[in-house]
This record gives sequence, C-alpha cells and structure tokens, in this order.
Amino acid sequence: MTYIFQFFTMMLTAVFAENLIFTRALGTSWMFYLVKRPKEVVKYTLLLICVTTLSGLIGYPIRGLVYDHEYRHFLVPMVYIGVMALVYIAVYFFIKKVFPNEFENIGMNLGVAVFNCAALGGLLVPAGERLDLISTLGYGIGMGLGFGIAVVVMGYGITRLEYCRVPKIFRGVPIALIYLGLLSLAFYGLIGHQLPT
Amino acid sequence: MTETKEKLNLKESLAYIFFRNPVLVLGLVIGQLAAGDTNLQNGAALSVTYFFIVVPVLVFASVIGKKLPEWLRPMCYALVSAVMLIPAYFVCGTFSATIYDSMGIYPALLAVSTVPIVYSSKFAEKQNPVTALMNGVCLAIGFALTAIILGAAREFFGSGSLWGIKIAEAAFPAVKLPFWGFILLGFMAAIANLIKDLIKKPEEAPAGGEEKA
Repeated sequence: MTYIFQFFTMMLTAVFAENLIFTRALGTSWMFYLVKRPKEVVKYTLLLICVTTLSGLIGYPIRGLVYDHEYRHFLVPMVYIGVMALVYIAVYFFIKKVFPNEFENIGMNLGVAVFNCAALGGLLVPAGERLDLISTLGYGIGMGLGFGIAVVVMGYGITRLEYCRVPKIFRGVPIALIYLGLLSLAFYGLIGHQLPT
Repeated sequence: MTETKEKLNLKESLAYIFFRNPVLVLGLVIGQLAAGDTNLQNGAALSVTYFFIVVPVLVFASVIGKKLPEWLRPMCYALVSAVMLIPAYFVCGTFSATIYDSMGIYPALLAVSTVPIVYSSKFAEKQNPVTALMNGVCLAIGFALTAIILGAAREFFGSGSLWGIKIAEAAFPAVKLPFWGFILLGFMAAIANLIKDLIKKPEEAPAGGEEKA
C-alpha cells in the first residue's frame, strides 16, 4: 500500500508540481511541433511515457555507478542516451512487428520522438534527485502525462491567439513564448511558490 | 541514381546568425535558455557546449549520414552529440570549475536538441561537408548571440552583476526563474522581428516589393 501511495504521489508531483514544460522548461521545441498536430498528441505522449519508464527502469541500476563519478556531468547523459538507444531499437522492432499499420505513420518520426529533451530530461531529473525505483517509475509516467496535458493546454491557447489581433512583430514565436511564460507563471503560483525578493 | 549534394551558399548560412536565428526565429532550444541561462557565464558555457555539439554532428551527418540505414541515423547523431559533451565540459571548465554544476541538466539536454537530431536528418545529410560546417558554425553563433544577451540581461537585473562582478544593486531576482526566461525570449523574438522588418523594407522598396523572401 505504501508503494502504491508513493507511486501515485510522485506521478502527481511530476504532472502538476514539476510539470515537464511549465516548471522545468523541457521539450518545448517538441511541444511546439505537436501543438500543430493535435491528432498525434496521444500517440507521442504514450511513446514518451514508454521511453521514460523503460529507460528509467534499465538506467536505474547503472546510474549508481556513474552518478558519484568526478566526470558525472558528461558520463550520466552519455549512459542515459546509450540506454535510450537500446529502448529505441526495442520500440522500433516492436512497433514494426506488432503494429505494422501504425509503423507506416510513425516510421521516421520515431527517432525524433525518442531522442528529445523531454525524454532525456525525464530521465536526468529523477536520477539527479536520487529517487528510488518506485518513485522513478511514477515520475517517468507522470512526466509523460504532464507533457501531454501541457501540449493540449498550449495548443488550445495558440489556436485562440491565431484569431486575435496580435501586433505584427509579436505574431508566431514571440506571442507563443510570452503565452508559455504566463502559463508557467500561473503553474508557479498554483503550487504555492512565492516570488523571491 | 547519382545524387548531388547542396553546395555552399554563404548568404543562406549567414542567415542562421540573425534572419533565421535558431532560437528567436525558428523557436528551437528554448527550454535550455529559459531555465539554464540565468547569468552571463552560463550563457557563454551553453554557447560553447552548443558549438561543440552542433558543428561535428552536422558534418558527421553530411559525410556519413546517407551511408547509414535511415532508422539508425537519429540514434547515431544522439550518440555523437553525447560524446561531444566531453570536450565541451573541459573547455567550459577553463573559465569556471563549477559552471556545469550551476546549470544542472541543461547543458546535457543540448545533445538531444532539435538541431543535432532533426536538422541533421532533414537538411545536413543533403549538404556537402563545407556547407554543413558553415551552417553549424552560423547556427552556433546565432545561438550564442541570444544566449549571451539573455544571460547578461538576467544577471544584471537579477543580481546586479555581470560575469560575477557586482555593478549595481539587485532589483528583480525573479527574472532568473524559467517563466521570465520564456517572457524575455518572447520580447527578444519580437525585437528581432522588428529589426528584420526595418532591414527588409529599405531593401524591398526599389524592387517594388516583387522579391520574395
């Protein structure tokens, strides 16, 4: 029972309190790509959950060997990118064998869906915080869910902004970034933080 | 079937410094700057790391990319990027021993950012190595320009210092938080759009607006 509670607590923390995009600013380019393709959000969110969970599981016993090393700043990402490469190969052949129709659609986008800042960030954060296995799994799933929610919220806002009379120089990237900043500020306040003085 | 690779177009490569700036115009590598680039030293370290990752990966993609199976390419680019974190770490260590500690996970995330993974697959593979090298250098300069201006502004307004040297009273510590990073980048992108418009208008005037960008 304690483990289940711990798992769900970490999952909710990752979804809301430490949201991948609004709090940690990870995977923003990937989010801007998915915002324009709402039908693909669920598919790629599931893929992200799969990558962070499997890589977290494989990387968990290895991280202890490199995290206290003098050169951990490049060793840890190298190990995790290596683990992601193994997961990528497994997921590639799994989708190709089990979902051949879906493979036609995902195909070459699979590499981009696996190797992105959201996925690597979803592995480095729990490793940096030395979370145990249950918490790492809960955090990995929560990060993926949080990413999906952030894409939906951003997509809704960006679509609305397209119908607004935004000054010419603010159209496109600038207004999207300012909107993202304001949402990020809202999340910051929502979880009870106060601005430093 | 023989395939000719894109030749060097210096004007197109140089556009990556400002007119097609990877951060302000293309909207890439935003998270690392919004959360990790909180002072001038961090801006410089992120710029050095980005240079060490992007230039070799784009040249690698141009030279070897097409010889690899298509599905293996993103994985190979990610692994090459990860290896390039080693020289970047040692070069950044020369100007501050604890610089990577202060930036947390953000320099490592540059290894799987959009340019090394997506740009290399979609563009660099079709370019000759010199074009890929020039594009890589210009993308890195464009990134550095944004990172250094943003880092300097946040350090000045957040701590009242520049490169760790105190020059004024800190007025606005919140500017170092990620949401301020997004908002400042948004305003910088708007200023870049304004400058682009001002530069393009006098150029287009004599041609009667016929030339397309």
